[in-house]
Amino acid sequence: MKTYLMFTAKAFSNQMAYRSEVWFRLLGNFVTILIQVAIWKAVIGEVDVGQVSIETMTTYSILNTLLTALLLNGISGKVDSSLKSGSISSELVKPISYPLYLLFEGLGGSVYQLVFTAVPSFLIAWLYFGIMPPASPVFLAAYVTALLMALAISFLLGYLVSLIAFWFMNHFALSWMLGGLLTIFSGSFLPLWLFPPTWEGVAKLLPFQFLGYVPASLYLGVIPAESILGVFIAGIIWIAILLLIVQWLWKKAISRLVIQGG
Amino acid sequence: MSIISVSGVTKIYRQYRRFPGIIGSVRSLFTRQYSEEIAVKDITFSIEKGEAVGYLGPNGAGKSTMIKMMTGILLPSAGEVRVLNEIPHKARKNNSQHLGVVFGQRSQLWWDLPVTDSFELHKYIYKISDESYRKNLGFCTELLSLSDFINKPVRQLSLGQRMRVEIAMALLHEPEILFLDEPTIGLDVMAKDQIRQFLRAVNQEKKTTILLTTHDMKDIEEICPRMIIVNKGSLVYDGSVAALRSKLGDERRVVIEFAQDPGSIEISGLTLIKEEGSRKTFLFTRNGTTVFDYVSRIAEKYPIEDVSIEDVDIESIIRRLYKQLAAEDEESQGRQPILVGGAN
Amino acid sequence: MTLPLFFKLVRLLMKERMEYRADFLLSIFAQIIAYGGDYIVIWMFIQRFDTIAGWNWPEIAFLYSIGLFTYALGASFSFVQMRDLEEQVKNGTFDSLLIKPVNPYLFLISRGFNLGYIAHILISASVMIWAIIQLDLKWTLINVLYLILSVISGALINAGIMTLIGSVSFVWVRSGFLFNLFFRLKEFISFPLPVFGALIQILLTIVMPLAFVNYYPAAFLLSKDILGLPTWSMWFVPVVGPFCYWVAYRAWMGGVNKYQSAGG
Repeated sequence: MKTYLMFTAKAFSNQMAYRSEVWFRLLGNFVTILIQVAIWKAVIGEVDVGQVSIETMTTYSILNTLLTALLLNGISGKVDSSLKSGSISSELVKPISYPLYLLFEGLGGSVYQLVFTAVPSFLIAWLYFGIMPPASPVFLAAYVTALLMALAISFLLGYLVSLIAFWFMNHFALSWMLGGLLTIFSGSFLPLWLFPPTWEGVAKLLPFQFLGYVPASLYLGVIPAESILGVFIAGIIWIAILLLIVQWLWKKAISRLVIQGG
Repeated sequence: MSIISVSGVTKIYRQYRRFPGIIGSVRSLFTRQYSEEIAVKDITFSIEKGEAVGYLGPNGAGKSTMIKMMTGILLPSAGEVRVLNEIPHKARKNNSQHLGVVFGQRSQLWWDLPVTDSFELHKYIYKISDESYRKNLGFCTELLSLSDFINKPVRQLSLGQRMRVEIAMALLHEPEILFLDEPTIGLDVMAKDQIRQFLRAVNQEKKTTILLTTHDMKDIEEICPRMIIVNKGSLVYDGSVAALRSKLGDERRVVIEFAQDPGSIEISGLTLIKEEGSRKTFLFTRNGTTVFDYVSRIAEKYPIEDVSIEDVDIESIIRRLYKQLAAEDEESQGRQPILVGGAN
Repeated sequence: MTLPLFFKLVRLLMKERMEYRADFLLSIFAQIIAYGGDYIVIWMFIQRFDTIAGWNWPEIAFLYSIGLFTYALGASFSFVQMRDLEEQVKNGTFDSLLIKPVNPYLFLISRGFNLGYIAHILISASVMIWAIIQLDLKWTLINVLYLILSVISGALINAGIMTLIGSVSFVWVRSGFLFNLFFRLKEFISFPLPVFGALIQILLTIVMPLAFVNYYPAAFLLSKDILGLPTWSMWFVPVVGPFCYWVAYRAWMGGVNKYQSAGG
């Protein structure tokens, strides 16, 4: 465990090396929030749509912009580059679990983003745009839980893509596809409740909603209290399914690597 | 008129400081400190047309920096570089037409395409006429035996094959000067040998001026009659290999094959360094008397079957030079080059 | 650097891509899906709200498509080249550009000319044509000419900004984060300019003239009223791009000079 936490710390301090970028990242987040808020302002008021007040949508936009910074997005890229450079074999012979190593290293990045991007961005957004408080302590707790699920699912999806890339050898295409699916189905810009009914139905059957719609809606209390449990069960089922797929693919990938000699 | 003349050239790099550890990286969020590093320090030399010169020095001695200044990639911080009678930086485009440059580790080839594609593009960029392209390609193909792999994609070539291709490409436009940065590094003995023979041929037959940096003394011995040695940015030696040998290589190895094992013998001025029965190796340090005096003195007492006298190899000479430099550095922190001179 | 040399390079680049044909096609397919995602989200959004700032779905689709199309054109000869420049400067491969008897900028962008943007071009051009048909735009000579000139200018604005970011590689160790910021800022022009406050509108017109990429030309072509600007002001659009690009090119060459005197 200590070894893995060391990877976390290392990833954290690696990121620290580039100081000027912190300010630019804060600016970037501010820009994204500004754009989304302006868009919501432009349409709300002209049309009366349930569950859409400008305060709700502002908070929704802020939460999702910050969440995007925290998710473990770099996993598949990292695996891809060590696959291409061949350094994967030397990583595999180390007496550590490769997936756990990836996870903990990714978490180092997330912690860094939390401290240096998400928290300051939150403060700036709070002062500039205003943020609604969580619907209730229960919803706040549900939100935090959903955040952890989002981290897990984002890791598993990225890891899944990198494993599929063992066969397709085209990580680039796979991650673009994943990106496209996330754009549509995570609901991180347009909440699922504003989707046309069919699309909403599809989105609710997929795991991507946990990377946008679910945490923010829990914070806002849009998801009714009695449904929280159901949402969490769905999330856990998704994590379990992804874990199984990933485990299975990992075994196949290893044997493939052994046969091909990296 | 020298083809390359370097006078009083200094190059200073500025390096930004990073602070180690987590606290250090927080600190570097707010400060920006830098240190200046002198890569090349007041160097002067000149090279005549048709020479082959080895540019030597330990890692970080400023060898690549000097090549970059001569090829117009970098500007000197002080002093003047002239190549083909022009300031390389100002006449970069024009000069590059007459220079061939091989950066050992940094390939300019098209990774996924056959070698010929890279060559043909080179022909296009350097506006080489069909005839001289054919002639030069033929020359390189033959002497570097490129024909086995010239139609293979570059990614399938071995390191040695790739280096041969790089060198051939740098010569397609018949440059007047060929710069090579570590051309034999990491290659196997065969590949090294072929490249050395080739470069010697290029220098002697085509009269191309060659300047190469290297770690490998064999490169120097086989290609370059003259060498320039730099250390910590300063020039410490410029002259022929033979002259350096006579300056520093005042040791000889004397191997004597006795008719019978004479047992242990002691002669002042000779140090026994190896004993293989009747075959003994002595180290001889010059001190007024010649090696032959000693040998004949020994021969008076013991019958000798055979004698051979070997120079200490250049590599150990250079090693001695570096050691000496390091020692002097420690002693005096002195800045004066100790060994400048020695003909040319 | 001549045009024949450029075509020679493109021929080699195509040959290189064809070494990995299946990969290339898969990548194109994936990118079409990804940008399809963007279109779908905007479509769903407008399904719900009918218009945004008075622009309906085909109009927004037209606006967005010009943005994507010009980005693809500009990026094909700037993005990857400029993004990788920091790495090239760091490991010294950049030096090999300076030993050739060519203009280093022109050679860099041509050597890296990116055929991978074909996906962007395909999807944005298809949607653009669909939108033009829906919108019943008049195909007058002047409109066609104006659209073509605007597209070129928009491509040059995109390329100019990315070239400018690339030139930062010569000064700082990293420049990648500036690309991230650029992509965030580019989101502004996915929507009509009046959505944003006056300050943003001014910034996007004067400081980082992204509004000239798609909003102004689309608004003129769709006869939208822009703050009561006279019609002749539409001809600013084709001028802004070349100007931006020229400024960026000068800055980039200035960066090379700085690199040569400071060195790595």
